[in-house]
Amino acid sequence: MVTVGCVAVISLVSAVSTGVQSQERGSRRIVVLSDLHMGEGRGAGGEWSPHEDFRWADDFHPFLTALAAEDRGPTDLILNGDTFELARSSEIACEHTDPALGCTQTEALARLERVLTAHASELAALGDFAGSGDNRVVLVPGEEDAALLFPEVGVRAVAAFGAPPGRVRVATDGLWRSADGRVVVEHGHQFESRSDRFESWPLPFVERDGQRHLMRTSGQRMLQPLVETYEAQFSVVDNVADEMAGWRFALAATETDGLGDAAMVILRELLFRFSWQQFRMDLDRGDVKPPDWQVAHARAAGAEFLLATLPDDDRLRPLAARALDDGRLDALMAALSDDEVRALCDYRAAVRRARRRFERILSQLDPTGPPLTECVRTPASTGPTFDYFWQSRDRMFVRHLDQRRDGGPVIAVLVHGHTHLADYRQGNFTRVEAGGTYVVDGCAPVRDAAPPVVINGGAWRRTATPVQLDRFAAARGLSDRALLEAVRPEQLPPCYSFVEIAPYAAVPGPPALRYWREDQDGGGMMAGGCGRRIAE
Amino acid sequence: MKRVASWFTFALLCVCGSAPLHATDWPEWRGAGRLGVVNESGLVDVFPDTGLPVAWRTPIHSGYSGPAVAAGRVFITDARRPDPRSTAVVERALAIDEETGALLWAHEWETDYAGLQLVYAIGPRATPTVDGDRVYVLGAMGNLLALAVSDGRVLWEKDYAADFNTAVPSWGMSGAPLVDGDRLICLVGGEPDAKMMAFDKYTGEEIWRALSSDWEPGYSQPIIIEAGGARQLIAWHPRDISSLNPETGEIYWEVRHIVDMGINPATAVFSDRYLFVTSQYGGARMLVLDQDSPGARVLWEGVGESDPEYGFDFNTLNSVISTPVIAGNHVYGVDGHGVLRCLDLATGRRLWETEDLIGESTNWATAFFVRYGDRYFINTDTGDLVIAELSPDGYTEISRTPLIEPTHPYVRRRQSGTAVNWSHPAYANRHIVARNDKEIVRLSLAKES
Repeated sequence: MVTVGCVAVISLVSAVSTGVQSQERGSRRIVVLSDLHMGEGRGAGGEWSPHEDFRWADDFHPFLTALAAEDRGPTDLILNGDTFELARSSEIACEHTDPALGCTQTEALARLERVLTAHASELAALGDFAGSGDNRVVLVPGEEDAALLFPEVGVRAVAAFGAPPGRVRVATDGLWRSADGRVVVEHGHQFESRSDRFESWPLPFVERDGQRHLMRTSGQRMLQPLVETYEAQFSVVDNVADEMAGWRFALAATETDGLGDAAMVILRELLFRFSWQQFRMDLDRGDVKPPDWQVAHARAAGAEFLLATLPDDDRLRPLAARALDDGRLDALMAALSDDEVRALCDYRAAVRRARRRFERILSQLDPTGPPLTECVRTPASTGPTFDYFWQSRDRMFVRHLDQRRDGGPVIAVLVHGHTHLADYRQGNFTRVEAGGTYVVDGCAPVRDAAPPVVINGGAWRRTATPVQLDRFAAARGLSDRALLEAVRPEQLPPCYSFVEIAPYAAVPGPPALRYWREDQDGGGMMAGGCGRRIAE
Repeated sequence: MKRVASWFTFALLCVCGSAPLHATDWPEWRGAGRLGVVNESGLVDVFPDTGLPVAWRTPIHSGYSGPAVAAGRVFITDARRPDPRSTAVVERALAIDEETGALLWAHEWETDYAGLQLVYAIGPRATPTVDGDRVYVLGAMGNLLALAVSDGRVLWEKDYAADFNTAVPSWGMSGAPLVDGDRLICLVGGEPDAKMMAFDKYTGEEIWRALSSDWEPGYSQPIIIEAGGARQLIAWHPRDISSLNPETGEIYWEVRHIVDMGINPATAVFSDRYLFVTSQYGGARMLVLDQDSPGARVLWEGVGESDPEYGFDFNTLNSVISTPVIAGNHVYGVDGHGVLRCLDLATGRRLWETEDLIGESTNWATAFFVRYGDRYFINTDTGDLVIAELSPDGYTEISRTPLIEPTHPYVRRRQSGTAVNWSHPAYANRHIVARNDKEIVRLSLAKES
């Protein structure tokens, strides 16, 4: 059992304050909503902006009412990143000579004003929630609303909630940490190898010619034009979970080629995003060992190794094959570290096993598709015992948590979002007592360790998985393009995920993944799962 | 390998010879024909306040396999780890005197549980199958042995991994051998195309093999039914529900039914023209079988918990271990969270559900149903034995008594404790025979006792 460490409480000095919450230790409920993506709303003609992903005010209001009515004590409601869509706009371009420069504070404020106007009712409802009892609302910035870290932008955003002073604030540390330091909530774009990771978080700024600009990450520079192109064509593309799966559909639908350097960024992003998903649902405490992959053997295959990492039916494969043919994959392969090669080998093995066992929910791949071949193992790690294929993901989280801990108390729970895909069945995240206390799922890099729980809360928005989209398309004989053109976000299952951690005395209990979803009478209800199909 | 037989046992057998199979025996998984029916009378209507009278208790080692009862003997398999730090185990097949509980013989073999999910790697899964003077047993790693009922002599044996290149799935080989005429039909999971195999039951010679093993074999028990003017071997595996000619292995028909994670421990059940399967992660399928020739179509389906569209809207019955019951126009079963449900057979619509049987809704909770007249004996994984009536109107519990201490490992928190009992008992000769990881016990179900 891990022990509770010391807590450094930093006083709030203004509406825009540090990431440490002043509170009585462990006495408050924590609720985390990620990736609302409130955007520009509707155009003059009443049509939704193609960049608008939050079209759910009618569902959001009753959700907040129901959340308050649960009467589970003072609540810290954490809006965990990308609450506002400030990275793109149809009106304020934020274009500068240096592509690494994003919006200035003035430009970001202008973008924000448009969003605040479009979503005034939702913000007012959040303000009412924050003003009720001893509730608080915290805005944790993500990569899409990193501009909240501009002081004036943060203050303006907070003011828009209309809540009593001190009840709404921006987490200027770039993350939220409970008073006892045991729970950390952050968006997730700062995890390793993410192309949308800022180098100087939580100060993602650069000074140029006397102006302070928001930096643009490499991913934003390379991918943003493509994102905007896709969203203009296919409004549902950003509602596929995980978000990178939407890219796969769009790439296939447009038969995109000629991406140049962006192709490599896309490939790298997609390869590593998938390799860190949870390809497992083990029922025990991890009586398995990591395989030892022969990295040199993998490297000897050259760039073919990357192509072989994608199943034949992966929508990304044609793009990768073209990149292989024209030699663009060589540089990507050469740049991979040994740990990254191992991560891809883990992924290949996980996909192979997933398909032999039809692990649809874990892989988000067609379970009947062709399996991958494994990388070559060292002779000492052959056999089915060595199937700890999520080792790379766990190790990444351990490194990340070590950085976040920074000498403080052991982090018991890390909640993140960003990918829009909630972890599977985290509702069963149960502590087990058999000679010790530990958590079944989550981050367990060392056998029999007492690990923290790492949970992806998904997104408080309507989403569909590739399996659902494939099913919809197959039933209607739709191509990828026809599918993306046919499905609107409003057709997606009216179901929204969030994470709740109950008030605790000493150690946070397991976080619960909950859903607000449409009930059978067309109203809303709290639930443990979704269970709805894409509507006609 | 070595055989351990008691001299006393040998002498006893010489005197008594081999006893015949009785109609009220329980010679295989779920009893004769794998039907889950007690075909005798004179059993208790309610349990005594003091519990069922104990005929005997005999110490054994751990395992999930249920007992088989035939020819005056109780057959069971178990396992022990000589070194708890090692995955090396010794599995055994035991014959126990049905009347006294005395060990008649034991045959043991060494194997290694490396590759199994170790928390559940406690012993064999498959119930022994008794056929005349032979008993067939299967170890968790695929050791198949034909043993002499009389003294445990090895008549023939197979090692699935060594002989057929079987990749043993995470939770072990579970398919209890099925006798059909001169054939012993087994879920082998071998390569190539040897997921199902039939052996000469006397010699072990291969007769036929069928179905690809590109996908895992699963954990379900094959059954044989009569439908469409043919005897059909129903092999439900994680990719399909397959109907084979039990004599040749020829495929009659297949219905695609993906079971996520390959977890399908429940047994397919058949009644009239209806064939029903259920799994927690793959959902449920009700098939209607053709009457004129072998064939089937899906009448309705319910999504499993791994389906992205899973939810109570479409959730019919997703059992994890528990085999359901078809009675009249209704289906009864325990879902993967321990909730007892009644479905309309024709539509899959849920008529009612209750937590009263298990006592809580918790993951992988299970219970085993055995029909007795118009009632059911139900043993829960909390260690209770229940007499109940199941009807479209609801669940009526008539009597409940402790049956056996739950000792099987369980990795989640339960109100009932930290252990479960996931072994199917045998009902034979007005007794119930149940096992856990410490003992096998025979209790009287006779009304007069």
